[in-house]
Amino acid sequence: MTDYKFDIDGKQLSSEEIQKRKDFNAFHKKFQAQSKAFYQQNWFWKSTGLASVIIVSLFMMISSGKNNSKNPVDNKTFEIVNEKLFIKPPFKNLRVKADAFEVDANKGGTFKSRFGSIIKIPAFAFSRKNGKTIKDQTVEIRFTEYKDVADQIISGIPMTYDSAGTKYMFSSAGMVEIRGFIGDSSINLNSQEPIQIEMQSAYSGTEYNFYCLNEEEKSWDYLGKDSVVNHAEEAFKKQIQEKYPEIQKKDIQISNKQLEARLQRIPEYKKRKKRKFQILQDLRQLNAISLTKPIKADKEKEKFSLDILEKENPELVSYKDVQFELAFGESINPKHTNQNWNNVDIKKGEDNEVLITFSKLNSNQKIQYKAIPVLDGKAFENAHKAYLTNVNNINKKRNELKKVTQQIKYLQREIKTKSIDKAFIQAKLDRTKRIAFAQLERRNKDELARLEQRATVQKIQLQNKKTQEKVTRYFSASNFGVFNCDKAIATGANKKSTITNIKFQEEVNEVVVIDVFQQANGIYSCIAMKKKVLNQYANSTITIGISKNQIGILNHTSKEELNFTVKGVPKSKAQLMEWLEL
Amino acid sequence: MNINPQYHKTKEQIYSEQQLVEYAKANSKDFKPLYNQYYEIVFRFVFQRTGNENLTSEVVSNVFFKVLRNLHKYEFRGLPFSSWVLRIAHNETFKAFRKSKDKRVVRLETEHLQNLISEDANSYFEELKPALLKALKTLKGDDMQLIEMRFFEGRPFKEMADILEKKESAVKMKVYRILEKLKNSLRKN
Repeated sequence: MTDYKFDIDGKQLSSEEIQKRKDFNAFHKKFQAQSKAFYQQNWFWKSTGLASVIIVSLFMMISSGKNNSKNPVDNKTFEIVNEKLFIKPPFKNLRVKADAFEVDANKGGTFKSRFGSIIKIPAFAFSRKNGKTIKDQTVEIRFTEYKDVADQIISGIPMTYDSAGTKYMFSSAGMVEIRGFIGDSSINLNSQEPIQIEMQSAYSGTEYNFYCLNEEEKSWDYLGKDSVVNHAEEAFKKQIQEKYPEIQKKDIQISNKQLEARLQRIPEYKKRKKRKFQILQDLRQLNAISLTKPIKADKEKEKFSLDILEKENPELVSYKDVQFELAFGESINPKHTNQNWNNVDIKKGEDNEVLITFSKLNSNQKIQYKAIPVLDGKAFENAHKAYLTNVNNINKKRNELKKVTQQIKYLQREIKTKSIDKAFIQAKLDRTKRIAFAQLERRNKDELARLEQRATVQKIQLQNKKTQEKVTRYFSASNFGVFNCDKAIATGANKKSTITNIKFQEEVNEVVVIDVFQQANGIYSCIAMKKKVLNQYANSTITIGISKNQIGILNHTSKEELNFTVKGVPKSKAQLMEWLEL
Repeated sequence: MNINPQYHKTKEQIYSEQQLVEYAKANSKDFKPLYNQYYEIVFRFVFQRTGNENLTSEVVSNVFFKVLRNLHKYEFRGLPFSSWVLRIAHNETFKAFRKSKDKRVVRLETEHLQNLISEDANSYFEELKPALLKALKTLKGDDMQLIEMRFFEGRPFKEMADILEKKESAVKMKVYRILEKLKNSLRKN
């Protein structure tokens, strides 16, 4: 049995207490030192280790040679600006405009910047410097977005990244600075309640990494990758969906005319249609005979018969053997019986009744009786037999009609289903073709746009890019500070030269030199000094100098002498951009 | 019982983490994001089992040392990197116990103990508490580990299985069996 010591409701460690113990640099140094000691234990391992280092170095050199986008920048020859000018805006009265939001610390909230970026702040997201969560207070959040090289220059934020002692220039897909204040005092974020930021960016692509500016160590910390949503792509997908919506089988319509045309091509269908027509004809004939069911004479009831002369009254021949049973409530008037009635008119009455009118020639006298025609004996048997035969014939024909109608309907259904399936597949194929065509058209358009871009000047290139690409980059921030979506890139071939003289209106000993890479949306800064070696990059859009708040444009006249055309102190970002022709 | 959401990782997070691992494999200095990300998690994991801040610091340092040294051996199998790190933390913690011969500490809150018993028994929890602790003391090391991860740390079964290199179903079964064992032990007392 294990001996346990239970610690119930004991001390709870805060994140801050744990964070205090965290020291990666110390850990890494120790790790490197211990690893080294291990290799130094005997000469064999030492030499093996050395060989590994050489192989790794060779491999890295080969790899870096293959990967043009990550050529290290030689930093031995000049001082990196961030070592001296860490977040020091170069112009006293010029800052990148920040958005300010007032946040209820207990509730948090969602806020939108002037560029459309979204900042989602959870409840109780803020803490004081001592780590205590801020409650029942209003916090001011200042959110600044550095969109382009002009913003980067104005911000004074170093745009270089140190990876394992090698410095790279940042190509930025967007940089934001977020700070929190209560009054003039800055506050912290609760690391347990990170802020979610959806930054609007003009640069798509997943090659950008996500960095946070470590203000204590004066370096950028690599945090991983952000997630990107490409609005153009999403909009295209939506457009395609709207234009060519997903096809459902129920949406496929086949008109009766189309269906009939298809059915007419099937001999079986034609045969059955013909048969149906024939049956209907037969039925029409049978119905024309229209025999009524004969009624057998009731011996108990009063009745009379007609003495019909066939030559004189051919229309009454059918009543020759018929007896007329007086209808309910009728009785024969004895006065009428011994008279000679020349004319008889028979009309159909209600139910089985007939109305018989007797009249005389040369007299207006008329008498009427309601009666039911009935048959008796042999006459009834014959009539009944004829009636049954007719009914049988009709029923037989009706059954035949029902059967053939069913067969026709089955064929119609089958052909309709087949036609819909065929039309459905065709519609889907058409949709796929249309979408493929639209995609191809878009790709071609994009390709064309890219070719056009290459042919135009850099300024237009950048403007085009900004309007074409709009993505949202999602990341979370556990601390206030500066966050950057960047990729480390090569600054191109450089020319090294020892500076003999620096002219910035007058002779100066040092000047901040900034290589501006507009296409890459990045800057590379250094301090150029007399008698020191300076790297000048071939691919930079423009090289500027900053001295005493003033901006100067480098004239590439001499490698050894830095000669700047001084523009003055920029009053606005627009003026800076105008001077730099950005 | 609430599962602590910080232990849940989406596929996207797992893959993004793997990217960090690859960077760190290439350059030990790029281990920093992983170190920063996991320091507190590992610290809390170890502190939960030692209850001693200084010892925890020492163990955590050893854990990261081992992680970084063995990073080249780490193979991505679609599981969170944290499982591998915490497996090392688990081994290092027990190695430290063996070395120091200190008692194994189980840190818990009253609420955790209440999670172990049924809701209707909560009304007489105070009476049950000594018996429950007594029953917990009878648990073997591995069983205590499972109860601790599940009920005192609120870890999902999936993560527990990843850390202990066992099947999720086996871990679930084992936890239910331990609970039954605890219930029986409580009934006897």
